[in-house]
Amino acid sequence: MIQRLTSIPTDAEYIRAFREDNNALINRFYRQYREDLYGYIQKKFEIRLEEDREDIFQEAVARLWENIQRGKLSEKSLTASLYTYFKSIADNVTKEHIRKQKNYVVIDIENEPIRDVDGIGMEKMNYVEDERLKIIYRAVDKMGKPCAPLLLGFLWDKKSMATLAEELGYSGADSAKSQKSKCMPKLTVIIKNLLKSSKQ
Amino acid sequence: MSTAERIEKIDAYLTGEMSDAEKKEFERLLLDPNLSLEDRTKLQDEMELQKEIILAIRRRGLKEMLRKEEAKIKQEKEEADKKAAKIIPLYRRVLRVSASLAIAACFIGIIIIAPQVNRLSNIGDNANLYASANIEMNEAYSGLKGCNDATNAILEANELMQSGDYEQADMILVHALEQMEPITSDEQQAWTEKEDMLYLRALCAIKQHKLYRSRMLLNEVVNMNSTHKEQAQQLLDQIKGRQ
Repeated sequence: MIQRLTSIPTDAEYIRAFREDNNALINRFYRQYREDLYGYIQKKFEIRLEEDREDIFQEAVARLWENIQRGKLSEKSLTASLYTYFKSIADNVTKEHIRKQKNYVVIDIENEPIRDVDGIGMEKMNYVEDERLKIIYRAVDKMGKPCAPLLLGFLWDKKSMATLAEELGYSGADSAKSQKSKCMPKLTVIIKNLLKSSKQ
Repeated sequence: MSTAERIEKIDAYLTGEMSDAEKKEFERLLLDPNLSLEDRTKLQDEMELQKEIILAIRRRGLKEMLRKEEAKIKQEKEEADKKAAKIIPLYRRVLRVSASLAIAACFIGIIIIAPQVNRLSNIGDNANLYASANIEMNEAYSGLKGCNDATNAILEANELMQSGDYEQADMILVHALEQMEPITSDEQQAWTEKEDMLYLRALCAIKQHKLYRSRMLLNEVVNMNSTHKEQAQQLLDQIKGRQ
C-alpha cells in the first residue's frame, strides 16, 4: 500500500485520471511535470516570464484533459510517452502564445501548421481552437456570480446541491437547484447569440 | 416546450440529474418518429452545444484548480525558502563563533605558548651547556672511536647536535640505548656511556622544546648520580622556574 501511494503513476493511470476527473492525480501530474516543462519552454522558446510559462503550462494541461475527455487520446491510442505527447501540445500552445504576443490576432485555421509527431496519435489533433469553441470558452470564462460558483461547483467539483446551497448561502438545495436551472438556459442563450453574431 | 425548458431538460439529461423514468421519456422524445427533421436537427444541435458548454464549464473548473495548485506550490516554495533563510544565519553564526574561537586560540598560542617555547629554547644556551657537553664528550670519546656502538653513537650525535639536527641525534641515541646490553654494577665505562647518552638526549629534548621528555630524562640523569648530575639539576631548576 505504501509503495502504491509513493510510486509515480503510469501514463495509463494519468489518462484515466484525466478522463474521470481525478483531481488529486491531475494535480500530481501538474506537480510532476511543472519544473520540466517550465525549463523546456524557457529553453526552447525563450519564454522568460514566469507568468507566461504558467499560463502556457496550464493551458497545455487543459488541452490534454480536453483531448482525453473528447476521446481523442486514450490509453490504447497513446504510442509514445504521455510526456512526449504533452510536450507537443505545449509546443503548439507556446507558438500560439508567441503569435498572440506579436499581435497576430487572426489565426488562419485552414493554413495553420499543426505539428504532427509521427506515431504518437497526433494526426487527429487540432490544437487551434475553432472560433465556435473560442466563443464558448470566452463566454464561460466571463460568467460571474451567481451562476459561475453554482455551475462550477456542480459540474467540476461535483458537489451536491445541498452542499452548494450551504456554501453559497441559499436557503436550501431546491433554491440552489432553481437558480442553477435558470443559469444554464441563460448562458446557452448568450452563447447562441454570440455564435449567431459571429457568423454574420 | 419553450427553449428554456428544452435547455433545462438537455442539461438535466447530460449532467445525470434525471431519474430513470425521466431519462427514458427524454430519450423517447429524441427518437420520436413524429419529430420533423428540422426539429430533430435543432434538438441535436442544442444537445451538441450544451455538451460543449458543459465541457467548457468543466474546463474552467480544471483551470481554476490548476491555478490554485500553482499558488499552493508557490506558497510551499516560499515557506521552504523562509525556512532556509532561517537556517543560513544560524550557520553563519556558527561560522562566526568558530572564527572567533580560532582567533582566540591563536592569541592564546601567541601569548602563552610562544613565550614558553621561547624560554625553553633559551634554557641551557645561557649556561653554554651544549658547548661544554660537546667538548667534554668529544675529548672523552674521540680516542675511543670505533670501540663500540655506544661510543660511535655519542660521537655521531655530538656532530649532529653541533649542526643543529637534534631530532636525528636523538634517534641515534635512542637506538644505541636500546641496543645496550644489561649493565652490571662494575661496568663503569658502560654506565658512563649510558649517562652521557641520556644527558645528550635531555639536551636534544630541550632544543626540540619537548618539555615533558626533557624533565624525565634530566630526572633520570640526576637519579643516576652521574657526572652530569649538577648540570642536569641546574637545567631542571631552570625549567621549573620558567614554567
